[in-house]
Amino acid sequence: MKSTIRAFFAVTLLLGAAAGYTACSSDDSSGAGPQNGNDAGKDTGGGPGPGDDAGDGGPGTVQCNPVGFDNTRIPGWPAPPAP
Amino acid sequence: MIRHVSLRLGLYAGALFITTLVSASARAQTVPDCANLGIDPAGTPVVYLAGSTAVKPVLKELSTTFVGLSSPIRIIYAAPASCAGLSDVVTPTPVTGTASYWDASKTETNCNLPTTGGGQIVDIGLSDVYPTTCDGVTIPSNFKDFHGPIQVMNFVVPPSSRENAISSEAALIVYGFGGNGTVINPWNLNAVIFQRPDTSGTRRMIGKAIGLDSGKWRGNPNLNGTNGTNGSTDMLNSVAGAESTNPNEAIGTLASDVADSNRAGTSPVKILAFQPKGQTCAYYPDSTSSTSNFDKRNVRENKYPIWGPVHLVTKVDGTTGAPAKAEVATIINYFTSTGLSTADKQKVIDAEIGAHTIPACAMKVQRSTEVSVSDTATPFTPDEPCGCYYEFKANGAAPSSCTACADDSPCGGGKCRYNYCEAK
Repeated sequence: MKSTIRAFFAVTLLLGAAAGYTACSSDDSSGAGPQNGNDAGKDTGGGPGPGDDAGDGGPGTVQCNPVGFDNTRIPGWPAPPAP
Repeated sequence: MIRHVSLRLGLYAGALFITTLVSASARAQTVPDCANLGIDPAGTPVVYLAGSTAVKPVLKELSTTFVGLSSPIRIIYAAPASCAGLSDVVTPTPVTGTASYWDASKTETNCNLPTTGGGQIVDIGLSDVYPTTCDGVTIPSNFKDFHGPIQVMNFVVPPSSRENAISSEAALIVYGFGGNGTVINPWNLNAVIFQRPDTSGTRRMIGKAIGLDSGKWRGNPNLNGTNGTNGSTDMLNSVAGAESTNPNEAIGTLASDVADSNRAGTSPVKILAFQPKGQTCAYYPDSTSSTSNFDKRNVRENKYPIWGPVHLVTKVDGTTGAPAKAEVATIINYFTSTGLSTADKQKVIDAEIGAHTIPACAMKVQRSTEVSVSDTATPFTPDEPCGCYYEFKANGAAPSSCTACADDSPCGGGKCRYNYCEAK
């Protein structure tokens, strides 16, 4: 009998803890918010590129060292409004 | 009892009054007259300069050099911005208020400009941009534009911004619309798209590079400063301060001499790589984004195009073309490395590198006009190249392609300069 009661309380505690965790998580405002606009995930780089001499590789070679900016992020590209 | 309390209150009030008087007096005494700082030998000439807030670190480094000359010179600097400084010197317009000087420990301190005659006439206008880049500034025939070290301009963001680069086309939208109407995310919040005033050389040079007229800049002009000048330090504080609130949305502009000193520390900013118009790659001023790399290779080779010489505009003798005042001539000669001993040239190079500007002797390209959207620069070989020494001083080690030397013998027909072989 005692073991049944202990098991009952153990299950209740577990379920309660899980429910509490879920409730806290749904109210949590400390996490990262939604990304702005449509550029989420378009990482422009940041890590070291393939060598220090991008642009010196001769005709036809395009090496961004270490980053490039994707101009399709500009509204209206390739003919955006003029300021 | 009541008498005791009244007496005590009276004593407190009296003490407070005396303390206030002493304190006010001390405050008044802490700002000396610029013409008589009381720290230089009697008769030390004072040269007054006015202009760019971005160029202050260069003056800070060179100020102690000038004070240490056998015939010392004290420089006093008012910083209303590049174009205002040029206007002040050529008009000429007496300058009033406070200015800066640097003591022996290179600490910047304020002094009160003379008020006699309506203010102080400026000897040298100091600008990050060509006079033609400013509105309404014409250099009279008895004035001359001398060129100092290379100043680099940057787009900067808070350190944790997810952005690492910006294109010329994107910067035109960001600063042309200021986060309103046409928007490039994440730069979508006007309050943290920070801009310098219209007379700023930083704004004017970057405007030339992206094709945005100075009058069309949109953004928040009210920077985080206490004196209302919206100068480079205020820009630094504004962008660095946005780290805690809008790290992705915030953006600003800074000269390298300010930005490079603050890539880490208490007010850090991140320098964005810049992608010139029509290109697909962006370049940092330095060869990598490392916060400890100051080699400026991409500037020195013009892959990063937003740079130009520091301009020193002063009155010259109609016959000789030299500055009219002897002490002004000395200042100009140091900035242009004219007629100096090798040791003094090295002092100037060290000071310019220390301020995160580039001595002309370390450049591999040159241009004679302001940067533009369709930028071009021509190859340049300085008379006395110093590229290896530059990287040694800037980064603490010369690149492996440089050869250390004590004389010309290991230089294969080249010349040993500042302990490194150069082409000539």
